[in-house]
Amino acid sequence: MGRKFFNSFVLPAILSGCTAVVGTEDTEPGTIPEQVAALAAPYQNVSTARLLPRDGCYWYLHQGPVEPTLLPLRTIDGRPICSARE
Amino acid sequence: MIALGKKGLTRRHFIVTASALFSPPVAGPLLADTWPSEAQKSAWDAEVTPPFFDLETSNPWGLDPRFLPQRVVARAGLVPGNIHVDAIARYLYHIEDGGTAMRYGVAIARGNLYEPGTYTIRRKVRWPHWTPTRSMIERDPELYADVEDGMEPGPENPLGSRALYLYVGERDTYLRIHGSPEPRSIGGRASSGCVRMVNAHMIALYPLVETGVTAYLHPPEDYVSAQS
Repeated sequence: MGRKFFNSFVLPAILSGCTAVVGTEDTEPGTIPEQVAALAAPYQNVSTARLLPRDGCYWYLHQGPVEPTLLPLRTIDGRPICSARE
Repeated sequence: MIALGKKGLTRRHFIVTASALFSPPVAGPLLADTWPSEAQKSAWDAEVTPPFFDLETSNPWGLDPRFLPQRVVARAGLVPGNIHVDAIARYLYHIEDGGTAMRYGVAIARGNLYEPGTYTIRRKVRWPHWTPTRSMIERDPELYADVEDGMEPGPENPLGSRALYLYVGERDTYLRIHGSPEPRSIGGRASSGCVRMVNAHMIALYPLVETGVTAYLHPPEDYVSAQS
């Protein structure tokens, strides 16, 4: 099986488990799967998103007022967007 | 949702619950009127500071590592001494000489209670009092009625170890940058208007911030969405 994308719930005590959605294997910045881009909340620059090995989740480059910094890519309701290998 | 009846609600239960949900601004006259001694303040400092504390690595709170304090390269042109709160990232930056800034993880206010803007820090307090504002009591009477006269300073006080008071001109906005007894809220949106930090981090930041400096509270993600 390929890579599976899922939403990693921030409040597992309230929202236990994960929701599998779709899968591809693109991980380079700017070439993220359409499904990931579709999940991401619109305030984020998805063209800068990339998958980080440290947590298996997508991060994007946020142009903050003091520094550019990587932040977790999130859904509209604030959940990080991650991947997992089966 | 939390449903708390007033009957059977102990003061300690209230404190834990309220501080978990709300990190509030401070209201006017304080009826909580004890003032801790320097020895008491030092004892509380020790109580909220982990053993062998290292600002950039100690993490008994289980914070995501990105919320631990670290020095970063700052954009050119920022004024040393000023504070910037990046509400999207949940970072507070204290701009330093030499083009760097110290970055700390924070929690910001729930929903539209966060108030982006430009403020002046006109007052600093170690181990401050706290009193809920009238609007907070009206919004959540079951939580605040028992402490409407204020809370004494201490490790369970919602303002925590230190508070920086944000003004617009000469007007106190009741917004604060402060320590919190709820470090696990860092990274989220928890308070009623203030910017929360880990108590031990706030103790480190506090002496570096001078009154008169500017604090910029930058817009959060939903503000950006609403404007786009």
